[in-house]
Amino acid sequence: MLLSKISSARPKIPGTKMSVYPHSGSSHMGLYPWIDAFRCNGCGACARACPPDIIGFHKGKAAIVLDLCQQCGECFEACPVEGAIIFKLPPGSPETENIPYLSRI
Amino acid sequence: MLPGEKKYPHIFSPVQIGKVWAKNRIKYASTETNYNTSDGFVTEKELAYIEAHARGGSGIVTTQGAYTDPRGEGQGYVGMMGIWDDKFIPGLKKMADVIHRGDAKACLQLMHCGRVGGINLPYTVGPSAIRQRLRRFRPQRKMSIPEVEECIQEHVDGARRAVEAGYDIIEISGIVGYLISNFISKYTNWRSDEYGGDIKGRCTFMRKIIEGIREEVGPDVALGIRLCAWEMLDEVEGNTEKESLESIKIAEAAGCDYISVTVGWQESLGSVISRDIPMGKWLYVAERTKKAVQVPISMAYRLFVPEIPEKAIADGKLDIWEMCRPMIADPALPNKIMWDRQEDITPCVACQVCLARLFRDAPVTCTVRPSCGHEGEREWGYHGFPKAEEKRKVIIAGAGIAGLQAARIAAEKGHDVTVYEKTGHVGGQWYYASRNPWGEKSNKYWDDQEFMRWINHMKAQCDKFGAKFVLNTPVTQKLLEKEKPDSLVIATGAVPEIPDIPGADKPNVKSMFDVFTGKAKLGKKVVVLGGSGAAISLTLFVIDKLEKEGVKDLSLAMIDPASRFGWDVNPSYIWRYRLRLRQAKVQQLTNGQVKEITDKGVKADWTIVDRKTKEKQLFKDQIVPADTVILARLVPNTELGYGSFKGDTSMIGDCVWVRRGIDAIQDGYRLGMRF
Repeated sequence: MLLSKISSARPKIPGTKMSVYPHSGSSHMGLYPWIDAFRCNGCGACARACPPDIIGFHKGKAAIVLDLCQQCGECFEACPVEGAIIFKLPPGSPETENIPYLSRI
Repeated sequence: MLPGEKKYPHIFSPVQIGKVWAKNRIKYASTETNYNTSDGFVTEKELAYIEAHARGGSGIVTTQGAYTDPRGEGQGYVGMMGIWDDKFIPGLKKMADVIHRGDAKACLQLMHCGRVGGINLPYTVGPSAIRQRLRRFRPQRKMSIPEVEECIQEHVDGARRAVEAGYDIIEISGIVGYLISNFISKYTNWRSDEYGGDIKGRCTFMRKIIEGIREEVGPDVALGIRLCAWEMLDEVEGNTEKESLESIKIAEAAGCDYISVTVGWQESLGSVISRDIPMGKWLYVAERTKKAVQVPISMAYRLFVPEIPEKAIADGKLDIWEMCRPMIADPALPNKIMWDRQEDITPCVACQVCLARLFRDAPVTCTVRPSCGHEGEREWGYHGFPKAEEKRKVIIAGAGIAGLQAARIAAEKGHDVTVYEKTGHVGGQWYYASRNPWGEKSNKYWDDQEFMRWINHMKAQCDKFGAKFVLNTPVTQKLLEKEKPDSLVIATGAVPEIPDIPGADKPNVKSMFDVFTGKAKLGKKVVVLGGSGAAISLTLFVIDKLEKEGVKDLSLAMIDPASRFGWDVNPSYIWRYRLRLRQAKVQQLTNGQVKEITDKGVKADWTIVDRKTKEKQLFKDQIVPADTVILARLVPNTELGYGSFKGDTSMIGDCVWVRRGIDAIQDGYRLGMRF
């Protein structure tokens, strides 16, 4: 799956119309899979689907070696649980930086 | 007049410090956060944190300590602010402006960490080279007289920069082992020149700093100092209480406008601010100091509820109520007291996570307020969560701490939340933990309020936002089919593991939760199967309970496969629990494997490793005499799993895997953020 397709898929939190992270639609930065540990049931579908085989398990939850991720989106496609894998910008990128709520100076 | 102002008129009366008037007598005391850059610049994270406090309603907001020397000798924490160059003024000014915007007086603390400083250096500096007692700190080097004079000048320059940045009050820190306290204390100051000798000589360094700053900043800026009123270092010949009082008098004579008194050093052996100290215990220290000096006295330690300082101020024991931890837990505490909305205050449970993280170079966080340090990030919702676009029906299984936290946020976001609880009480493990003996020592050892304060607060919040509670009802397949929720949150927590050995179903085998609630009868010989923090807490409870019941010749043993007990407990206070276990002569059978439970006792193998010699002592098929066996190894509750519900299912807290309370609350909060 291409990056553009992921962006248009707009990962949403189940039952809402909104994507969890408002910035996750922009595509000039890479989008990386992020696992919601509270929702991941450890079924292993993402690990089997991952082409570079970089998804493993820790404490019964899927864990990704993000540095080797090719952002293909196969894990997102394979995951049977809605909302367990979400694509979002890597931490520290300009759009995910802390935006002070009140004291933007 | 607001209801809280009527109820606590003394706290909300204005106070004069030098020529500065503060609107009330609540002072947010200086707290290191490790949020700043490692070279001392103020970050936006710190600004957002301070802004939360400034808007919280306290009369005076103190910044964290800023180190004054370019060499980094005064830097005691990786994320500490610097004030040793003019390049820091813009950041400090932003902070002062943020505080002023909250209608509070801005106070900057100058802090040279001395003996406990030099975080990025291989040494620390001080009046004399005294061996360190704590492993964390580096060897101390003696300062020469030119170095001391330079250090005084650096403090004065720091004060000048603070005034340029717009601060109203300047505070100097001379407590818990920082440089000024090193000079004052007999324990660390062995000098024979003008900076040593008797108490007057040892205070010369402090006096010169105060006089220098006063001369530099003029009379309009208020100047204060934090000093130890009792060092608690009697076993290494620290200052006596009389000498400490003398140092406070010298500080007043040198020109301080207020004095903040503290108790204890980081090297003291007793506990000062932890949960085993009753609230208001140290007020006598403030009272004694107040009698000796004319200037206002402020104090911070263990004053968590407004009733105690209100009474102390009315009785003339105290002038300013300082707070660190209660205001980390809830920066809006003064405003909530002012409106008399005390059920809305997130109470500090004195868990010391903030302190422990600070000493491990991690940014401060709070057990009871996960948004600590994320005040500026919208999705963390410190200033409130927005309503969700689509209302969902959420069922939460378990009203433990994780479930309560998730329920509160989901309810605040406008979802239809119902919490089902199997037992007849909310609070989960904290309900049991609130019965352990480490709390407010009232006559009733089971009446430990500290944990229940948070539970009651969270329950009140859930009620306020409209979450429904159904007690005595476990979540079952049938119930889920009937209710048809959109989301299920599994927060069923942990249960004691029933070992797969012969005799595990005997009547003398009890669950730890039954022991806490008093359902289980205890004998004289108790064996606890477990070695985690929960098991230690249980053992302490058993010791305390049996001692109070007058049982003599106790025989207690703990057995667990771990090689060291209490591995999951905060290292900042595990020593206290270990000490108590040693005092009560509890056998700690490490590397243990239980084989059988009989009527006479527990048959087990274990290995004890001597900590110093590393010598191993093997015990095989030994019988530990026991008439009561308590199961205290917690494992995740597997009643409900991901398969039990077709739909959005989340699992949080101890039922994922067993961790500490902070993790359960963080889980609940993070999940709540995602709703």
